[in-house]
Parts: sequence; C-alpha cells; structure tokens
Amino acid sequence: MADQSAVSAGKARVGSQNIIQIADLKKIYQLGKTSVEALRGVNFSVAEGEFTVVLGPSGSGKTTLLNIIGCLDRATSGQYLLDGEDVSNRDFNDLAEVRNFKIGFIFQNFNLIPVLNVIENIEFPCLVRDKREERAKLRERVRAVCAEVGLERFMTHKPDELSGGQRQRVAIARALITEPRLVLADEPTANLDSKTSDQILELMQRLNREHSTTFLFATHDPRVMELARRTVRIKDGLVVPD
Amino acid sequence: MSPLVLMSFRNLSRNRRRTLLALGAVVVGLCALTMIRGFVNSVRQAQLGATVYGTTGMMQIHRTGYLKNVLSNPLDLAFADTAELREKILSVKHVKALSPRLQFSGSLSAAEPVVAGAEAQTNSEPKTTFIAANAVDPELDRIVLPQFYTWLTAGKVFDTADAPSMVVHGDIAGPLGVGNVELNMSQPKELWPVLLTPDKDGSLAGEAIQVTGVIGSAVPTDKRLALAPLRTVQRILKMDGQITEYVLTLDDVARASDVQSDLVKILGPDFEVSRWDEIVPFIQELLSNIDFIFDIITSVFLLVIMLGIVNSMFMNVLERVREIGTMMALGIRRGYILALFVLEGAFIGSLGAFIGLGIGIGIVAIASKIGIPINAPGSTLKFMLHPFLTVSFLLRAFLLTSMGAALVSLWPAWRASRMKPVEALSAV
Ligand SMILES: Nc1ncnc2c1ncn2[C@@H]1O[C@H](COP(=O)(O)OP(=O)(O)OP(=O)(O)O)[C@@H](O)[C@H]1O
Ligand SMILES: [Mg+2]
Repeated sequence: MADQSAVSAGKARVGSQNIIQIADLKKIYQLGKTSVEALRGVNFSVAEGEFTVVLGPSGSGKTTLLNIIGCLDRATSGQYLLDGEDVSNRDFNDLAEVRNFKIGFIFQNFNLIPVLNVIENIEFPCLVRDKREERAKLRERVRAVCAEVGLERFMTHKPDELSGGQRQRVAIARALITEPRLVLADEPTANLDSKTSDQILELMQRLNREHSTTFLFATHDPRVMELARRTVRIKDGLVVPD
Repeated sequence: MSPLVLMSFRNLSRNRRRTLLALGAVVVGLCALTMIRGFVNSVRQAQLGATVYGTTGMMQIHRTGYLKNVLSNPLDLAFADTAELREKILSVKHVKALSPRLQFSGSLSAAEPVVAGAEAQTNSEPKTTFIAANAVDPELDRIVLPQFYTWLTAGKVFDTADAPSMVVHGDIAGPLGVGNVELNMSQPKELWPVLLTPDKDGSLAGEAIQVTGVIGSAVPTDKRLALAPLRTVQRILKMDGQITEYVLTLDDVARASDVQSDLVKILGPDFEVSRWDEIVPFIQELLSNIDFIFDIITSVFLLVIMLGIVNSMFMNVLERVREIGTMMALGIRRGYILALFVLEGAFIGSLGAFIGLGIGIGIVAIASKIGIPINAPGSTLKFMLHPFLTVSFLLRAFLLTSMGAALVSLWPAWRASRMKPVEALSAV
C-alpha cells in the first residue's frame, strides 16, 4: 500500500508493517435521545508480530475498540486500516471473508459451538470457506494445533465435557487454525481462575513468539500488564499516553 | 455444506422436548391426513365403482336426442343392434366390452288370486306398480356392470336373454307380494305377475313373467328399477333386434374422453356418446366436493403444522443468538446461517412426515384388511370400505411437508442471518 504512510503519519513504527492503523477513531452509541461516546478519537497502531495489551477500566471502551478492529462493528468516524486496507465500506459477506482469513477471535466466554466436538469446533472456520482444503490435510493441521495447545487427549470431547481452561484452549486453537494475521482476545482470562489464566496467557505468548502472530489482548486486570511487551492504556474512550 | 448439515442435524437433539413437540405435531398431523385420505379414497372409489360398474357403465351410446327425450317416448329412438355396429364400437381403443340394452317402462301387476285351495294368497285386490326397467342380455351385461349383480339380495338373475323371468327392486317386490322368490318360482304360470308395457305405437302389450330375484341398491337409485331379459322384452314389444343403448366398459376410466371423441368420429351424427360423468353429473360433483373438502382439511392441517415449525424455529434462533454471533465472527456468510436453520426446519418436516406417513400407512393397511362397513344414505345394502393410498399422495404429502417446513423456516432463518455480529455476540 503506497499511501499507507500518509494515513498513519507519525504513528507508524519504523521497520515493520503495521497490521492495525487507527486514526481519530470515534464510536457513538445512540440510545434513544442520549448518546454515549464510547471512543472519542483513538489513535494507535500495532505492528506485525506484536503482543499488545489494551488495558483499561471497565467501560473504558476496550470491547468497542476490539469489535471495530475485528470488523464486527463500524466506527462512527475516523480511520481504520487493517493490514493496510480500509475495510469500512465492505458489505457483510466481504467482512466475513476478511474475518475468516485475517482475524482470529478469542472470547471471554469461549463461545464454542456446543454441538460440535473439539476437532469440529477447531476446523469450523476452515469449513465455511468457499474453497475448502483437503479433508485429510485439514485434520492433520487440527491435530498439530491441538498438540500445540495441549488438547490431544480431548479431541472428540464436546465443549460441555471440558473445563474452562480447556475450552479456552479450544478457542485459541480455533483462532489459530486459519493462520490469521491478527488474533483479538477480549478478556480471555476473565472467566478463569488465576492459575489457569496464567497458563492461557503463557500459551498465547508462546504462540505469539513461535508463529509471530500478532495478538491484541484487552483486559482490565493490571496483573497481565507485566507479561506484555507493549501496553496501550485506554480510559474514557481515549488512549492515555505512556 | 457438510458441517452445516451435521450441525443442523445435531441441533435437533439440543432441545429435545421442543424438537419432539414440533416433530410430534408433524407426525400426528400427517398420520391423521393419511388416514383421512385413505378413507376418502375408499369412499370415492366405492362411489365411482358403484356408478361405473353398477349403474351407468363408463360410457353409453344412444341415438341422438335420446337423453333429452328419455322421459317422453324412448322407444322412438331405438336402433338396430347389429354385429357390424358392435364390431365398430369394440374396435375403438380402450373399449373393453359392451352391453346392449332396451330401456322401457311399464307396470307389473300381481296375478288375480285364483281359487287354489287353502294356501292361496288371499289378496283382496290386484296390486300394480310402475317400473322403469332395463332389458339386458345377462351374459354381456354382467361383464359391463359386474357390481350391479352383486346387489342381488334374494334369488338369482335370469341366465339367458329370452328367459321368462325378471328381477325387481326390493322396494317393489314387497308391496307387490313377490318378495319371496322361492315361492315365486314354485308357483304355476297362472299366478305369475303380469308385465304390461306400451309399445312404440302406444298399445299395451303384456305377458306373465316370473320374479326370480330381488335387487337392493348401494347407491341412491330409482326404486322402480327392474331388470328383464332383452329378447323376451323385444318380443313383447315387437321390437326384435332393437335396443335403446349400448353400455360400455373401458380398460381405463380415465380414458373416457379420448374414447368418447373416437366413438363420435366413428359413429357419426346419428348417435350420441355420453361419459358416465355426463349421465350422472351429480356423482362427479359429489366426488369433486369430497376432494375439495379434503383439500381444505389438508390446508388447515398443513397450516397448523407449519405454524408449529415456525414457532419452534424462532425459539431455536432466539436461543442461539450468541452462537450465531460467534459463527459470524468466525467468518460464516449470511447464506450459510440461512441454510443452517432452513435445513433444521426441513429435517423436522421430512423426519416428521416420514414417521407420520409411515404410521398412517400402517393404520390404513390394517383398516383396509378389516374393512369399514358403512350404510350409504338412500341405500339398502351395506358397503364395505377398503381404505387405500396412492403413491402420488404419499409423495406429495412428503414433499409438501418437507419443502413447506424448509420454506417457512426461511422466516426465522432470515431473521438469524440479518443479525448484527456485535449485537448477537453480546446477547446473553
Ligand atoms: N451496545 C451499546 N449501546 C450503548 N452503549 C454501549 C454499548 N456497548 C457499549 N456501550 C457503552 O460504551 C462504553 C464502552 O463500553 P465497552 O463495552 O467498550 O467497555 P469495556 O472497556 O469493554 O468494559 P468492560 O471492561 O466492562 O468490558 C460504556 O460506557 C458502555 O456503556
Ligand atoms: Mg469489554
């Protein structure tokens, strides 16, 4: 993208391609007559391979920001480039494709599909594609990812037969199976005990190192901060300078 | 989309009670429909059979103008029953057999009681009754109207066309004192009733005749009905070789229209060819009414079934909002969400239809074996109904239900596919 530096003037980090570039991003929720300004002009960018923690108190706008970055929601104004591309005018199915190929999601409440077992949950994003890869090859990759996140022994279990930590591992495996450019995790440890949280955090960091997948991790837990190489603080819909 | 099919199928067992309820509605509805259809089919068949195999035949050939003048002087429009004419008619495709008939009216009078000892029937006055009779050749007529001959309630039908005997309706036989056919047959000729009939010229001709059989009716018929031997009647009326009509049976009643136009071509303008449904239009109307009522019942049943499915599918969608949001986040397209719920509805519809039709078939088969006795209004005979089903009904019922279920599921499915990912994901 030739004109990308113009958009991200001043914020681009030297020497690496930016996966996320956000400039003056605003999001206003209209609630009847009153409106809530959840994001009030956010500027920041994330470079490829980074593990970034978005830290902020409850209600500060983390989820709002991640939803826009994840192409699940649109900003009211401002600019957002994903992997150098402006996706703000794409229709639903185009955005679905962008999400499917470029973004992996890890949710606070896991959001596994209850009728599918571990393998099926993990391979699901690859199966809803138009051009599906060979079944055997896909199964091989699923097995490899399962091994990576430590789920080998639970491959045929249904989600309700797994612990919270195991479920989040399935979600992580599902996010990684598409080899996305970016993994978004909105408070992925909030529903886990501290020991399991640490394991999940550790796992994500290891995957970040080994695959150089970009992670964006939202939390209100300052404890997580210590683990992060980079922290973006957010408060009342604005990024707080370091 | 194999994962979608898999998911739709597994989702059925997710809320078992709801699925079973929706499924139950389809099963019960289709089972009931199948039973009703089986019964209606048998009523239809019985009515149609009694008409085309027992009353009018499938087709009749008269001299032109006969049917309009039948009440005034039918004998004027008699015609010669020749071998060539018969061959001509039988050469037409789908015509299986014909029976020549001479329709006439007259009266039947009980004989004056003669003094014949103590056992003489002491009728104080002679009894007379009017009859509307068909003179037939029994051998040919039995082939064309086999069912008519099963309605005999006593005695037997004359064996030959020149027998000196006849068959009358039960309602005539009793009052006339000829209800006991065994007694009739043992009586000397002097005690036989007399058949009086005006011939072509209007002069009365008469002859003593034996009543050897009594006929009942399974459908509303003229109570003055009587059957007489063709050549005997031709002799009495001095109309040798003359008949008023041919009654035809075809190898397929559905071909009646084709056969009719072929016959019209062959026979020319001197003859008129009438289908059974032109001779007794009210029977055809009755059958159409039966079909119409069944169609209404079917529509109501299907409507209720479809409402049940829509309701169940809407609850399914509402229960899975977050899952829909998740799938959207994972990059599923709108069309796939649509397909997911449509498939689920179609599964319920086709599975329910399959089971419901299966049970229905079983019940109809049993009912058919046992038979359902009914008394048709205006009939003196019991009818045995044997319910049956056609493949085309079963196929249509199955397709209509499964495709209907898929179609109505489009509504909740469409609502699901139109959800906004963020809103769906934040649902509790
Ligand atoms: N759908 C919505 N409609 C109206 N207001 C909303 C909506 N979603 C979020 N908000 C408001 O926007 C602001 C930011 O919310 P957001 O969920 O992004 O915060 P958060 O940082 O994720 O908080 P938490 O840590 O509790 O998850 C809040 O004031 C919230 O009330
Ligand atoms: Mg949040």
